[in-house]
Amino acid sequence: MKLEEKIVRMEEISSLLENPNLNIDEGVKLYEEGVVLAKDCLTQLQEVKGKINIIKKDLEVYKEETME
Amino acid sequence: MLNNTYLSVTQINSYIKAIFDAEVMLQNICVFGEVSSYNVSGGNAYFNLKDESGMIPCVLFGANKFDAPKIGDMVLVSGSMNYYAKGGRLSFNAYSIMPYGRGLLYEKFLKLKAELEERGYFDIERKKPIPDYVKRIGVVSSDTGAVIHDIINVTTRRNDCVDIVLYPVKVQGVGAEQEISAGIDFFSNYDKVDVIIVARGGGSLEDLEPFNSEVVANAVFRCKKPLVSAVGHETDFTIIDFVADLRAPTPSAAAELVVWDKALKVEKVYSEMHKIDNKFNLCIVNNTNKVLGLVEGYERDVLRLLDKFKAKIEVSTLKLQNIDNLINNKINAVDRLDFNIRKLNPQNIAKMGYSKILKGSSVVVSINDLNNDDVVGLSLIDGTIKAKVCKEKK
Repeated sequence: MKLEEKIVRMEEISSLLENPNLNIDEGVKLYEEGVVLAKDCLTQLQEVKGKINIIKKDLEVYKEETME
Repeated sequence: MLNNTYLSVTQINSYIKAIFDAEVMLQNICVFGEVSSYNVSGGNAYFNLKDESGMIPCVLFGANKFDAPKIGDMVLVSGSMNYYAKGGRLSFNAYSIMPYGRGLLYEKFLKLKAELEERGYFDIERKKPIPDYVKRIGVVSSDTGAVIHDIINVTTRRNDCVDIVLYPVKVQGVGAEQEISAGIDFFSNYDKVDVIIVARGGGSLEDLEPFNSEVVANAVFRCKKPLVSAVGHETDFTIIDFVADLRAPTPSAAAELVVWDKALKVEKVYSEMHKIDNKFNLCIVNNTNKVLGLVEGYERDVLRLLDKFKAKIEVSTLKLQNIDNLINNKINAVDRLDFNIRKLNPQNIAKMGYSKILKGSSVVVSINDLNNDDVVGLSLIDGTIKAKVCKEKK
């Protein structure tokens, strides 16, 4: 599942959890799914950030080499 | 003696004036030069005529008969040198003034300009845009002189990746216009250049003449590549300037206009990169906050659910408690009954010394039920006995 899709599902879970007629079993199940997705998303975001930092560092090196 | 040693001012002025008046070379002559300062007073114009190394003050009588020249114009004046004794000054007394060099050439220029304009040579719609990122420039100019060096210097300073190809031509004199037009035609069909600069340094109107020719105008008109003209100084306008896609005031300016500034573009790339970087970081932060916010929401919702469930349990517990009470009440009632029942147990009564009297199987409750010598049974705590009645009176 893509990051964007995960966040969309998380939003869905959020509105499902707001339903006042939700039973506790269903609620706990949704909560569990949401927290797992959140962990996934945060990991993925951290990975992307790391990847960008590597690319940025590459660019800095290139800049130093070309501009002298 | 005195008269021989000293001369009066009038005497010396008369002598000088006589010399100038007698000098045929200085009478009825034409002089050309550049006008510097021009003032009209009392119908006469007073001005100076100068060239690179000197100047002559001039007076033009009846100045209103002529078009007043502008400062810096080259003019041709006709008249004689005259010594003005009253002021002790030498000046040129002019009786006519006309633009120098212009005259015929200027007329020719105006005629050709009007003709080419009529033919659509100057139409804005046919002007080709100068490409933003030029890789190679074709220069039509002289291979000697400052012009090509100026272009190379400016180009190298702005962008060391841009190449210059020079088509060397004569830029003045006989045959110059043919060479210039051949140069333009060459680059027009030479795939490797993106833009053409036709350049020449400053010069007299005569020097710039090839750039006012129809031959060059035609070459520019049929040229397939964008062409920039850079002829003479900023104030010079030639026919090629009107036909070219862009007119640069000087050759250096042409290079400035055509060559993109590499350092500036590189800086632009990095600043855009920086902007992208900031936007990306913001995106990460926003998404992270969104995820964390959603999780917070879940916790709130689940706790609310749990609270609700807890409340339900409490209601049920209360109900259970009611049932307990009910049961306890019953137990108490039963206990009370038990106690009463226990109190009424015949054994317990027997313990107190009371005994049941049976006559046969009937319980005797009154003395009238008995007669003398009746045998009755007495129930005691540990058994029964038989007894005989000795009746007594009440």
